[in-house]
Amino acid sequence: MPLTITRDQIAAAMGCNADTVTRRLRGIPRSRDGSTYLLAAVVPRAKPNHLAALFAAATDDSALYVGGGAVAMALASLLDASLSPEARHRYQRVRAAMVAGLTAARGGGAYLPFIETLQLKLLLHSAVLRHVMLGTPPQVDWMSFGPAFALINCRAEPEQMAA
Amino acid sequence: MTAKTESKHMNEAEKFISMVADSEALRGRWETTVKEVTTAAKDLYGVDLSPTEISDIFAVRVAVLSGQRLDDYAAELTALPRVSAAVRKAAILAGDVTVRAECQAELDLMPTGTASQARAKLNRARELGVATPPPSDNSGLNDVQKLQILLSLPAGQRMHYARQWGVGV
Repeated sequence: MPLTITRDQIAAAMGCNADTVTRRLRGIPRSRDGSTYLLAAVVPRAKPNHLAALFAAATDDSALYVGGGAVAMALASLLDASLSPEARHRYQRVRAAMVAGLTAARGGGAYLPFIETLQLKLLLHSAVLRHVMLGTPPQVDWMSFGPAFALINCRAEPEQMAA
Repeated sequence: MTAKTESKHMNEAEKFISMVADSEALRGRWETTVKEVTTAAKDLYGVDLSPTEISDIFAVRVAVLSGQRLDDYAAELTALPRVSAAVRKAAILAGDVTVRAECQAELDLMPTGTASQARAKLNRARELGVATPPPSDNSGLNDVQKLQILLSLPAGQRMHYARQWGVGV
């Protein structure tokens, strides 16, 4: 899982009690021991002024593989729906660059049926999420990142859960 | 090469031809040398050289004029325009990506604004042997099909095979 954050890290970043965190994040899927959240799932419920602190506190394993399955896809579409106009603009740029990269890749046509799933999954990747949410300059060339990301993450996901 | 040295070079070769035509002894040596070089070029590179092209080889002129054994002329032979083209074509056919990229770079510089320019470029590409797609493996699969197969593998194995098959990048 790319960017994860524990309940205590969230509490420190938001400056509140751990119990408050649990209450605010009720309903969000957690790791098995109940202490770790996906940052992508926390972000939609966080206040904009807490975002930078949350990203600074989160653990990034820099994995290219972002996972999948109905829950992850539902989290990604919730996040997608919660994006501010500026964040959405950055997200669109990354998406467009990924598609451009896929078009240039040899045999990239094989990704066509999965483009929308892949674009949604982009949001789960740590570098993309950080750039989209915080607007920090990207460390990655999205065009060349696209084919590698798609190769690793491309798979048919179950129908996205109704939002 | 400047035009001046070019013409001087031509003169040398022409002078040589006239010298050979004048002398019985030179003519005999010239004919055996031509035979030798022609068979060598034919065997090695599949090119039928004309006597004029052979007279461009410095080592041949020296050997004919001096009567000594023909020196090593392989480098000069492969520098002849038609032979070097044949060498390049063979390398491209054998799947040498570097040579192919060089030829491609030369082609990329050619203008295609008008129909005749585009025709010239296509003709040049055919001469160089890069008008057809690079030789592929004989699996009969195109890149998209290969990538589709890759996508049926577990994520952890995909990158390895994608590099090996040269798709998805």
